Amino acid sequence: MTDMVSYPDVVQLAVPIFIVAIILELSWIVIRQRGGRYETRDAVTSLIMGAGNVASGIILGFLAWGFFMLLWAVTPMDLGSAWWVVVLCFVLDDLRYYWVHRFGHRIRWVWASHVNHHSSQHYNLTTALRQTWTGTFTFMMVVRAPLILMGFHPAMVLFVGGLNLIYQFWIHTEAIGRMPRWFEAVMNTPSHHRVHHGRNPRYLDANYAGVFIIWDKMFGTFVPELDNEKPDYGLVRNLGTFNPIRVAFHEWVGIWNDITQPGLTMYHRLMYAVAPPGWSHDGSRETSKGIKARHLKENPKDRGTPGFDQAAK
Amino acid sequence: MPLIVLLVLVVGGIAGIAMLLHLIGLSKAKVFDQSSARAAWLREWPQACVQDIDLSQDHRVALIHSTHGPGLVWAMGADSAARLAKAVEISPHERGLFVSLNSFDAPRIKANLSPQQVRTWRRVLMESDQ
Repeated sequence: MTDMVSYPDVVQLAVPIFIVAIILELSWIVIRQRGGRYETRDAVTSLIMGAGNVASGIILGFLAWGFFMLLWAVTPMDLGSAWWVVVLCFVLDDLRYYWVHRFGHRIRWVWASHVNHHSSQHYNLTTALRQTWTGTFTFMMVVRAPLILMGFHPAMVLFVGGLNLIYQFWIHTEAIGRMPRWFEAVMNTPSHHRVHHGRNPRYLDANYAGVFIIWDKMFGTFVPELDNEKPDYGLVRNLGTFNPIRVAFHEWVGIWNDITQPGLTMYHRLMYAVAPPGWSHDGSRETSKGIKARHLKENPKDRGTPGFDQAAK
Repeated sequence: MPLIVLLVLVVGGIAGIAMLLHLIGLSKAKVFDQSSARAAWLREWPQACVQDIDLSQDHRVALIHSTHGPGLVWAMGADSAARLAKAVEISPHERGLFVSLNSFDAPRIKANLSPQQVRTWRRVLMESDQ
């Protein structure tokens, strides 16, 4: 077994690059008067969420690491640490990311962690750093288990996961329109990811990719950015606070309030935790599927156009 | 990277960027007029048609009379948030009202109001609890 594998913590090393890139993007926006928007409290909240994410990794990271090392101890597989193994691990981990991200939008328990990344009404490089503090509690670490059982060392899996996160930093910008066609076809880009952050009915639950947009094309969740429909960033119901504690925990509090309502069945309580965001036992709220269906009822001409191909009838 | 270096980078980075943004004038709160308050409301509650709008004195909060009942739109930095006013708690401040929404993700709004508006908003918001 390859026990002495070591990789740098690339996310921590990238912090100076993040800071410089944010200043460059801000300068571009201020000088050119286009390419996005910044607002002080929004940006500060995003940056504090990013710092908290790093802190939570330092404090709680041992839980995931312990789980991964347990798997590593029991698996008979060891693919070693050749460069092609790292590349293969990166690609497969990106597939892992796609599914965790998709679960993050379709299972409220996971959404409770991921929602804060979507809680800014802006889309700039600080938004990329608006990351969760509570990812450990989603238990999505289990989705990495197959990689480790296949023989990829846990340190390598975390290393490529860090590279994935760093790749996604630069796509959180309006300063870049579209990349060359071949790049847009294969890679996740600012254009594709703007769609993902859009709260427009058309753009809900689309473009979950981390690095390679091909996963969305393979699994039917790809929606292109339309020139005539600019993404409206934020949540379906936007937050009324910049307090990072409230941003980090609001959906967990929402789950708690819902599942502890009097008069519900056990099934209802469970569904408030695991059903898609917006599910309610009495139908008083809307899921993304309901929002798309309502939009089509009001705008039947949009039926069959991107984002509405598979909407509820 | 040593933890102390990371800490200095993160704290210095956040403080520096915050100061830069503030100094170049990007801390201004959104100011509504009738049209933008209506748009901000419909952005979040498209099914609750607007019947009337009453703007606060500083135009940063608006009381919305909608087909789903009263609601509030308020500035969130350069953007907006909106909620139906249900189970709200009201308390006075020297230039108007605090409205507590009993919501973890939208706790309290400060509205600067004229004395006449204080009476109207209090009546409308309290009636929404009936």
